[in-house]
Amino acid sequence: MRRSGFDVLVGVAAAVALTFLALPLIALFTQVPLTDVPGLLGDPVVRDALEVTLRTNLVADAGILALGTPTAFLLARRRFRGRSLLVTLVELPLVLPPAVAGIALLAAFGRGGLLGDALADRGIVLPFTEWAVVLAVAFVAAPFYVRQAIASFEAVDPQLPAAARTLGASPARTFLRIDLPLAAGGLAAGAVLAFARGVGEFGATIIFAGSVRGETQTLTLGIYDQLESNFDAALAIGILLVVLSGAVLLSVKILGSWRSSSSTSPSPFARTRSASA
Amino acid sequence: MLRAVAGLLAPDEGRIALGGEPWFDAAARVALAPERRAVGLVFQDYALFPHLSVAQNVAFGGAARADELMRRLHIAPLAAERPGRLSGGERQRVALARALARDPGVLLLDEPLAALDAHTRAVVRGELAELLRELALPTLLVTHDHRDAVVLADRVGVIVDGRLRQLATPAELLHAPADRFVAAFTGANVVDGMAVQPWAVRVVTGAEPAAAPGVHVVAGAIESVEDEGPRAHVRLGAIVAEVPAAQAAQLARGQRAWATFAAADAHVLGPS
Repeated sequence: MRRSGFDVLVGVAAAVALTFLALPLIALFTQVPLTDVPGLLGDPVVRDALEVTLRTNLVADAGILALGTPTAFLLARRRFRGRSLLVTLVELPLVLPPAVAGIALLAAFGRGGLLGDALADRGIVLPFTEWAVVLAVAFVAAPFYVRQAIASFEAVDPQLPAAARTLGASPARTFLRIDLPLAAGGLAAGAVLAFARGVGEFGATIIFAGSVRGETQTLTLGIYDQLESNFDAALAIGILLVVLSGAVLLSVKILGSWRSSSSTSPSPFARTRSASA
Repeated sequence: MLRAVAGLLAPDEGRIALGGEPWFDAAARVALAPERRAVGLVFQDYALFPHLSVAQNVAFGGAARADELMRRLHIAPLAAERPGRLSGGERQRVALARALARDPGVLLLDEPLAALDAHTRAVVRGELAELLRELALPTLLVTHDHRDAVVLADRVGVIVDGRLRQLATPAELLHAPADRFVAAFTGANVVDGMAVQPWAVRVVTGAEPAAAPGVHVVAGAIESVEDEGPRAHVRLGAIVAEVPAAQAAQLARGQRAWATFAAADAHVLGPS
């Protein structure tokens, strides 16, 4: 079959785009000998950054799950006036430039900020501390979880919790035994996405928390810090984060396909929602 | 209506009570939550929990009676299965067992046979009738099929356009329908302000039957003949008659014929 000019054009455009996307990733893995990477990752700077990243992200994610899950459940289940406004509010950090998030957090919690002075009077200073990293990470990553959680709760056939109530289950028992397990796959996918976003945060963290080694310097901030002095270490951190991102993508795909295997009899509701953030 | 009784939605006005215990009273502002009402609701598509096994589904309402109910409804061998792998009839029995496990004061069945194929429906209808008799539990059953009402119900309420047209026994519904809506629901013909069931209508071909007192005659052309085993449904104009298969074999589409019935077999309808 003769290739039309259109086919060739499409093919060329795709080739250019894919090359553009692949090139930096390939370069990352080839500019430093891969055998050196474990050694580079053992550098105290890198180890400190890894610890800060893990500590702050785990705490932030715990907070996101604890507060985001009921929030998502409320927004998924109840229709009330102002609901779309609240959903927009939840989604806002998704499109907000991270630097803006940082400066907004300073405006709220920094000296002279909305709550900053009230907190300082009680001896609580947040900016440029590890807690600031937690807040910055939570602020930018929460929408990834909450949006996915809302979709997951909405995908549960509403007849099922209704049936549970008629069978004598209290609202709490219904949530724990019906809504939560059925939404679990989607919730897990959302949590993984939030984790990935949180780990990758840079702008908000550097403005609100600064880049203090061992305290607020996360892996991404570490890349920036090591750029001049130890480029190879920066590359090694980059490789680590790419591997992490790949693992995240893989687990989201796997978790997404878990959900599609749970469906009630002829219900039209319990079908897959794609795990896109 | 069933959802209102169960407490899943609140009507604007009215009162719902079981044995004198008020569950809902618009005037007195009483509205009990669903889990506080002693109902067993079986949804039209059963709403079985897909992530739980049959045994877990049934036990959700009450573990004490679960085993006994599963045995009684012949679903004990399915205890470890997931609902997704069951047939329609099996799912219905699981849904029933689950609703009964709660030891409800009233059973609510929402179109219990609608989700079944035609063949299973007749079989399950009979089984359900027996089960309901055994249970001797007050039951509210919603259906579009008047055959369900006739076989399963002690009393039938016909609701058309949100209005209750008649509340009576199935026999009364058949022989003394209140208005043409009820008559149509039971499959009766409505002719000249009278309701007459198809089996009371005879089909005469050849020559117009002689007029006789108390006998009504309607002329028309045969539109269709539907074979239903020993008898057949013959559509003559707007009238449906039930005739023996032997006679049905002689009839042809487009043939001129007369439908006759005795006034004694018909019921005069009130104004609707």
